[in-house]
Amino acid sequence: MDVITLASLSEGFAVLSDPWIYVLIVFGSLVGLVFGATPGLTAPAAIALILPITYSMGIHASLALLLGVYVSGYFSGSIPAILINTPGTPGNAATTLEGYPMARAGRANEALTIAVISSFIGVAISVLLLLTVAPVMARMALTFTSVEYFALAVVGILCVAGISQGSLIKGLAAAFFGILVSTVGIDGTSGVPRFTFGMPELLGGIAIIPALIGLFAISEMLVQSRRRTTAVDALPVDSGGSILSVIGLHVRHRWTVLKSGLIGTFIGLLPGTGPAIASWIAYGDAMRSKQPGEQFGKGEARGLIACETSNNAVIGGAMIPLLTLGIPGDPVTAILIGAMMIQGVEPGPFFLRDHSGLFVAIVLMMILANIAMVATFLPLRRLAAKILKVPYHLIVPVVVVVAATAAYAVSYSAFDILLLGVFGFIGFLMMTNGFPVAAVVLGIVLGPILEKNFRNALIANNMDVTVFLTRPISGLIFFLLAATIVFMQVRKIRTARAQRTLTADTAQH
Amino acid sequence: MSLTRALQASMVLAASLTVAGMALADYPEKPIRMIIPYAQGGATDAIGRMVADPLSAALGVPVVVTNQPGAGGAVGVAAAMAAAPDGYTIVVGSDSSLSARPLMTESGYTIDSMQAVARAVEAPMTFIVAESSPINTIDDLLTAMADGNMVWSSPGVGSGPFLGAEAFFNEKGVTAQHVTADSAGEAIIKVLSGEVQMASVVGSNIAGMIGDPAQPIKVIGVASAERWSRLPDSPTFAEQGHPFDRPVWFGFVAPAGTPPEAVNTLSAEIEKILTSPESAELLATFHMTPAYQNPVEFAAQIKSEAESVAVVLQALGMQKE
Repeated sequence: MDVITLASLSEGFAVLSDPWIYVLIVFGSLVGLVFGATPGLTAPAAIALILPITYSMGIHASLALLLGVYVSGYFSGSIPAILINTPGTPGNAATTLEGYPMARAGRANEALTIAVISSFIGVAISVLLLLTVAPVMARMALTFTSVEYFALAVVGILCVAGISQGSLIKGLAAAFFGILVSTVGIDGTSGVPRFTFGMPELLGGIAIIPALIGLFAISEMLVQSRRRTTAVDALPVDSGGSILSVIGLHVRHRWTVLKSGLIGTFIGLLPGTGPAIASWIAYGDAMRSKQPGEQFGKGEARGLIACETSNNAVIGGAMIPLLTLGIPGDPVTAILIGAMMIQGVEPGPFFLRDHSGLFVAIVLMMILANIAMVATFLPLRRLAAKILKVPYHLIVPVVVVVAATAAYAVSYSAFDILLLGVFGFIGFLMMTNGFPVAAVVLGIVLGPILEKNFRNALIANNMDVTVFLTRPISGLIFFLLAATIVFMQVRKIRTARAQRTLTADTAQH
Repeated sequence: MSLTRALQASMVLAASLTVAGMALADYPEKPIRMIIPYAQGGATDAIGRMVADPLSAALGVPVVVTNQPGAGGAVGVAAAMAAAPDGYTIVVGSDSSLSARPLMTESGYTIDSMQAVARAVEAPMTFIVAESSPINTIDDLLTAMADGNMVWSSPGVGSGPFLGAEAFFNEKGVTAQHVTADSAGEAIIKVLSGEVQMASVVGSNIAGMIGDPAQPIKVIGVASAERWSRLPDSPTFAEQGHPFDRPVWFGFVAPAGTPPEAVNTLSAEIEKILTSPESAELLATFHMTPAYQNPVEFAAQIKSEAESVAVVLQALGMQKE
């Protein structure tokens, strides 16, 4: 099956003949830059807030804008990570370990340039993989039944727990809360309404966009407004670190670049995971292959390259399950599903076949967004520190008003503004108590996939539970999951035992 | 109630009646809200918008389209039924959301809450199977269903094709296992992946796919009285000795109590729009057929459909308490 024909290629390229597409991609890049760079505002929040203005745009323009925000939003969280030691988004937490020491040593400009070039390469690697893996995946997806979808959703829910770097239990609790929220409304399998409390507004379930804006944006604004605003001292962005020398650095560390790109893409591919996990894994991997003379934690450029390449490589990876299975790979793609459905395009196994031209256009727009990210950031990098100086008493009211408008605009329903407030407050309580809100969002999205396919699989197979193990793909997925969990537990017990022996030893001496 | 209170109340009443009377004198005099209870982009959305623009031109006031999706159209219909019955709110409803939904759940409205305006379009329920399936006819299907274990799918419990198929099964005294899908597309994928043996969908969802080697499905029966113009090569249920007529339709309703002048004006304009060549062209791309009914006929259609579906819902145990 040749999915990408000459016709779809020309259709995809034809999209680029519209000058508006370029304007929207660059505008999206700038929005992503500002949101990513402002600590507390993340790429998912930016996408959720900007979504309503795409409703009337048509699919191409809508995706141009959203992909622009997506690509640069994942990168720009590294700006505050490097300059003020505060990651702009959770995906850039690992970046602080090497980026901030570099900036302290007067190499801020070099660190920022490395971050943007690494991000560029990360996206490029992942887009290349998207282009090759998606058609294969789409073909496979046509043989997938409810059994396989259920297995994939289980992977997603277990990975969600990884979003919380801290407590696995809190991560799972947040994900399960999301699943619970997703059960509100008419149950698809029996047709019976659940948890609607007689409110017709709830028959269709909790509207995802308002809930999501509340969880991502309102909660963060509540947290910020409680914080005493103090001017942040950003480190100065010096000269030095020329683009050529930074590119040379990437060529020297090409294996780290390639490996981090692959790690990022693979993590993106897994439903439920995101840039935060990808960057920690890639960073850990770079550290393990430490060369003599490298000083991790003290401004080692290779560590920075690993983080920034992998977290942006998540983008192309996350688009694969979105476009071929209709399952989001990360929090942003969870919103992109809604953005595409609104334009009448259903992501899923038929997507590549029915919209191969659009698929080509998406790939091209991701490449353009990648270029736009570098092109808008490099000339502006001296100004980057200025973004960090925008006071929160200006950010908070503006974001709250935009958030309310965005929630209302989804279906012109005042009830959705109420939802926004409720979920904003829930998010606030979760954040102040160390629960990851991104896990709730993925729970809301994965919940129906999990439940519906579980029940469908049982109905279609005479209520035989063993079908999840006897169907090959699902059986393999569950085997790998079980193996991973056992492996992690064994390692945990061993580490605990080793620590006990160590403390016992020290106590004896 | 004190005298002043009563006086105040009657003055407000009088004032509002005067306003209502004035409003009727030259309807319409302000923008009309058209609620489309489905997401932007789908076929139903396109049909609503197809009517909205010419309607606005004909009446000389803006027709503002708002999409309020959810619960197969019930959320948007409920919102419309809660609006003032002044002729300035209409909503797109279907056989499922207007006739069946109020019988199934506390949806915030019943058939008595609505004033029929105009039925607009229809397409027949259609049964499809994979091209490689041994099932070729309705008789084959009924044989395959004899043990009650056949697995089938539809675009959702409570949707038109679901209720239509259940009504047919009920009439024939057979049962089957239903695996739900979120859309017709998903139900078709389930047929192709072999997860289900048959899917019941709206004919408009598959009319463009027949004969496409990339979508190896075949039609085993179309639930219309005559051969359907969009699928001229596919046999009807009746031709195979199982007469069963089941259109899935969409139409416009307003809240009950909407002034008859407004209803008639709207209905007459919608009828004109549906017969225009522009509409014919657009409907062809969505494989729908125009099926106008005036307010009286449409009200009767909603009611008779509700009566027939009530029997099915009772048999399935899906009627609300």
